[in-house]
Amino acid sequence: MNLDGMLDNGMLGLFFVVIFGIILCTIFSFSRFQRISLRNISAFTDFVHEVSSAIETGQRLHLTLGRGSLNGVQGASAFIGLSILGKIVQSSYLSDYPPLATSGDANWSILSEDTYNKAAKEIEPDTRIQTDVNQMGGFTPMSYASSTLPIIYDQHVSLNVLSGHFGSEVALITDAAERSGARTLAGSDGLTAQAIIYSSVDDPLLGEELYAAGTYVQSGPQHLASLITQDVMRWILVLIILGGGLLHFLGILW
Amino acid sequence: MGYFIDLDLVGLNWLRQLILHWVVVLSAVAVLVGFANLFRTHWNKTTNRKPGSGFSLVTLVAMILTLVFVGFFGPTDPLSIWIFNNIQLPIEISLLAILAVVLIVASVRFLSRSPGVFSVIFISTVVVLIWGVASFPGLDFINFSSLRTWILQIPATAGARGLLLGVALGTIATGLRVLLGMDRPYEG
Amino acid sequence: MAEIRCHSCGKTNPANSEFCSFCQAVLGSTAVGNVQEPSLNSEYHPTNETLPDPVETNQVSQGRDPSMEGKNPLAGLDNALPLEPTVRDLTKPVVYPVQSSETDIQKAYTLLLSQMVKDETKRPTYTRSAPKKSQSILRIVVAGILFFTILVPILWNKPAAQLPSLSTELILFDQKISELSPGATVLYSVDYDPSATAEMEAASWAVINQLMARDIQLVLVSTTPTGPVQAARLVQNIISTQQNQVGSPLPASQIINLGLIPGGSAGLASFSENPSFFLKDATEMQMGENPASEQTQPVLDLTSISNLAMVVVVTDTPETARNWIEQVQPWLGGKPLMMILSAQAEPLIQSYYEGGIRQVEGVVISVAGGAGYEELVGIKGPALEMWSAFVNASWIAGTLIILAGMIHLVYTQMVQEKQGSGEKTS
Repeated sequence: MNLDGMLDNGMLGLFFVVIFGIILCTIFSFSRFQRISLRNISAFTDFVHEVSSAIETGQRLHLTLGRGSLNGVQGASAFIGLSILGKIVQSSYLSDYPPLATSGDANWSILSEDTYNKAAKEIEPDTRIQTDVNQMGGFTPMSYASSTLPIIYDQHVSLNVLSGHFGSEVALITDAAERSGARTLAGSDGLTAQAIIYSSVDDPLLGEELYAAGTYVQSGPQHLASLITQDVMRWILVLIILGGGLLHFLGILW
Repeated sequence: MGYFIDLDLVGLNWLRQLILHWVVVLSAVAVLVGFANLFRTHWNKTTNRKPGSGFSLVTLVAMILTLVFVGFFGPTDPLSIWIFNNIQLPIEISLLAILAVVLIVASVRFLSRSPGVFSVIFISTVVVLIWGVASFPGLDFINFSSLRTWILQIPATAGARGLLLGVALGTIATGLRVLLGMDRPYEG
Repeated sequence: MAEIRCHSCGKTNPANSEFCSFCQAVLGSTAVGNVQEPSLNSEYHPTNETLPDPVETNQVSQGRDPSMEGKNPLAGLDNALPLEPTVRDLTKPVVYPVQSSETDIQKAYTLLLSQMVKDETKRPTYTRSAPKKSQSILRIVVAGILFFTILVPILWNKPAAQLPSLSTELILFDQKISELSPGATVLYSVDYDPSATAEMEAASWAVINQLMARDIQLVLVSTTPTGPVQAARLVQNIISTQQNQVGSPLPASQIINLGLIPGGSAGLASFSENPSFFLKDATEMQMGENPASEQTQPVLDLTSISNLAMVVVVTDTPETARNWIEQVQPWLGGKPLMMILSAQAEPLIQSYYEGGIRQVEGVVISVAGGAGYEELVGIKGPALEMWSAFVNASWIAGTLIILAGMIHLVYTQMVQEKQGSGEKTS
């Protein structure tokens, strides 16, 4: 059996994505009737507590969406950041210091402004459109990181949320957060950033924990459905990898 | 779709090319939008005399001058290269140097922050990878290069692939949610 | 105006007052027989004599003495309020001191609550907590040690550290470049951030010198916004270095800077399938003897990227490297894709050149690879110059992490024990 032929024309990948979509839609249809117990991720428990604490003490929340491109694989982690931003704004819009969003890509600055205003209108329908709540940092990694530092130091930030694509420059951001006494919840799709986040952040999100954020902050049933779908597909992948390795070892597949 | 299927077979390759060209143009326009956003942020800070408005004024002046000179002369003109060599490059490299110190300090404090077996393994791996680049002058008998190669080829690659598989699943899920309209945190 | 003196408190009241305005005693005198029907008429002024003593009257309203009727509403009623004696005895209200019986703890809580309520209306001002001195000292010490370690080999010209053994990928890199025929077109992508310039220029110096020495057509391109100016800078530095090397003139080569391909992976996909879209109105910059000259002519007849002899990608991020491998390599038609990578990209791209299907033919990794390649091809460049300093700094960094980490761990434990014992004694 020649697997290379099947892999070459990409049909297997398309088939995988189609199955993924079918399972996602199916689970989404029934997710409202399901009660799923999620495993405890301490980062999200602390996140809820920190958001409440920041509102009560009158301090600010800061969320940064990284510098990944919208039309690349790095965009997905920043979409998760947008969901978190929506929840943060809903919780803390009426506090003394409203939350701030930063990003290193122009697309995310536009989307974060839209997300902010949409969430703000749900709280206060007559509110005017805010244009100064999101800031675009620089176009290079270092200039982006250095543009977030004044916000962390000078804007009474008590909690920083990092969700998006980062490189090694994330160390500057996490170091600034630690020196200013703020807490940090961080996750990224980049492995370099994950290694740095693991060693320097109070609440790191490794691997796919970031993609579960929408479920844990209760952004909607679609996040729970996609989390369940990811679990199902992960097990399918594991079986394929182990089974394929075994078949290759036995000489059935080449 | 074009990544998985050869659209020439169904005569839709022209559509794929067209959409890709649109993406390229939109990406370039997005850079301009980002520039405008940056300008607006620092303009507001300067005109409202907020704390740090002096730095914002410097940023604005630098943005305008760079845009004028590089826009007129081109990015490969000696003047543009001079601006890059003498202003942007030293600042960025200095920040990377600071990053090196920050990373070492973070590694030093890591054991105190979260003591445990995995922390020891983490730090040991970091040190072996750093020392494995080359042997120290005069101490050629201490050589970690083979251990470094083994770590890179086996455990690091395996762990990286596992993480990347999880990230890929999350990315597919997020992309499908957006495409199917299930997840629209922004307006519209 | 006539006045009447109150018989209870002795104060004077206007003559038409019914009750004393000081002690509320009933004023005036009315004979028993002269009691009038109570009415709203202001001329009616009941007096003590007109009002019977309701205390002495034990008759209820139904069975009361009919003679009592008509005297006043309360006349003869049993248990009626004894107006006379009580009202007569009324004096000015006594002022009692207000002294609560709360305890000290309750008082403290009350004060705290009132303070909290007051603070609610105030906007709090926060001052940033000063960074811990020990952390600042640690940063300064680490930076100082690193700086000294890097400076020593440069200043004192210490003997160079031993180079690592040449990898298969380095040898293959040299082989592939040697196989290029004169006039071949090589695409050279400058895709690293400005902050990584030192590392990437050191890694790529020998490669680009070797390419230019082979008299090929070098097409520069980039997917990062700062890429075009970095590419121009790199070439300018090489040209000026070549011009300074008397006795080793290199053949002139045509260098074309196509600029930026925006859009990330989508842009690369579009470029791979239809490169002429990016070349239609491209400005050709001929760099060589006069870098400032520009010619607006059709640059290349590049209808397909398989017409290229080689693609070299210089990048510091694994994502960019992956984009080139996945979007461009399938369209190369068997032509080699070579990479010059940063150390952080090496683990993730390894599988592309060490796996069964080699999508990347040759790789130069970071300063170590650059120094090895310079040694291999005999070109002295920045990688060999900085090699000793790089090795020293790597070893010192690793040693710092271990030693300082252990010291910091012990120090933290001591501080925590001290704080713990301090809390116990208090």
